[in-house]
Amino acid sequence: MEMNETLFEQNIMENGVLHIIMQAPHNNLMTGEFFTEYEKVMQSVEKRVKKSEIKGVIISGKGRHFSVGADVESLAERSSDDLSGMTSDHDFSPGHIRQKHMVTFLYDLPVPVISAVTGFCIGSGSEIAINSHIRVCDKTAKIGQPESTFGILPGLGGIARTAAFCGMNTAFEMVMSGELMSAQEAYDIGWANLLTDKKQAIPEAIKLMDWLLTRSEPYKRKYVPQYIAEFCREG
Amino acid sequence: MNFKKQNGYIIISEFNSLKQIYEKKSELDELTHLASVFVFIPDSQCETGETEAEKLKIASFFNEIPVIMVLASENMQAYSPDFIMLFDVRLGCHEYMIDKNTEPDERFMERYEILCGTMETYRYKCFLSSSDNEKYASGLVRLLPDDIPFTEALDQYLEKVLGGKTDFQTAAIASCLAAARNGNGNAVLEEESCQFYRLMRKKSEEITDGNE
Repeated sequence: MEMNETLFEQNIMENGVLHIIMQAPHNNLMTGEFFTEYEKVMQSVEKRVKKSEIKGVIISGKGRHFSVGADVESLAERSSDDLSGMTSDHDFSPGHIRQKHMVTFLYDLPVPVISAVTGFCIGSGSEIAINSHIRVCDKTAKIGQPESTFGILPGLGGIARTAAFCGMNTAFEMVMSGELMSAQEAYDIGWANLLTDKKQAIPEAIKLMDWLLTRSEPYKRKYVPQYIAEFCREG
Repeated sequence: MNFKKQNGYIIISEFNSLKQIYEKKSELDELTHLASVFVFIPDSQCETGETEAEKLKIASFFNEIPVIMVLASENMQAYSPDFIMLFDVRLGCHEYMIDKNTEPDERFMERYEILCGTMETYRYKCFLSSSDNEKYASGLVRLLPDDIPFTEALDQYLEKVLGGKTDFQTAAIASCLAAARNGNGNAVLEEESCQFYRLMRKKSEEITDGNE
């Protein structure tokens, strides 16, 4: 076990899978400090995957919840700093570019990335999950992108990935309304790939990861729906 | 054809061909300044266009327009897949069934994946390669409750989704979703960031104005 960050526990498993456990206060509230450490962890993940030191990534939250998302006050403060340096709508601050990359790069990793979702998985927390290739949800999960109810929108890949995984009807409704949905609803619309009993999301994610890594063909994200179907058939 | 401005969206009704919509192109362009969601309620029969060239022109117009195009009908099955798939969002009260004999081409499948997402597309492909059924519940339609009149269900849905938002905010989100029409994820990521900061700027201006 490695314990190089206080807000994130990182366990390298025998099969080369890195299990990142978010363990920030207040149900993984994503403060400025959270994002600073998150970026360090993910920079390391990016490097280690490139060097083939990591064969897969599992992300989960310690305790009952995956993450309740960003602290809106701190988000407003940081955004205000960013805005003062922007000369046009597309002149994003280096901080935003880095932060966005450290969430969205997960989607493009060549190794499986699974989020094991329990309890609340909201806002920027749900953007970590939706940038993962696979979401394993336990039945307690409540998922949503409530940014629109605060007058903003999901800016870390939430719209792009929801549209890609779930289609336009769902992206429109989920992002515009900001309403939370149950794990069952998330499964029905294709947001969640697997639904488990309470407290079974992490064990199921580990089992699925093992199964993916023992396949003879190289892993490709685009085949995830097929992998899930085969995994379910094989039990 | 009838246009009705509602709170956050525009209802466009009384038309039986998208050619009629296209002929009102400049009027629709003007309306994009008033709302970022257009809800189309066609007559019970509605054509996409008469010729292929006409259909292409209409598709291109739908693709370029910077608002979310919603199709609403209690009898979606009355329209062709090509017709309903021109719209970003489809609201109805019954599943839209696709015939197995439709034999979708590559363009159809690309569009289907953009509209329905990767999981649903996989299910549809499984259906196409199976020998079980002749019809497939496509997932193209967001089902509204069918125990109340459709117009009421539609109003409730639009209030749930768009209620409590300013036109500025709806426009920002609509712009991101419109970027998702072509399946280019990077374009959507870029637009998300751009619109996020536009909204944040607006928010901070409002806070500053409130403090003065």
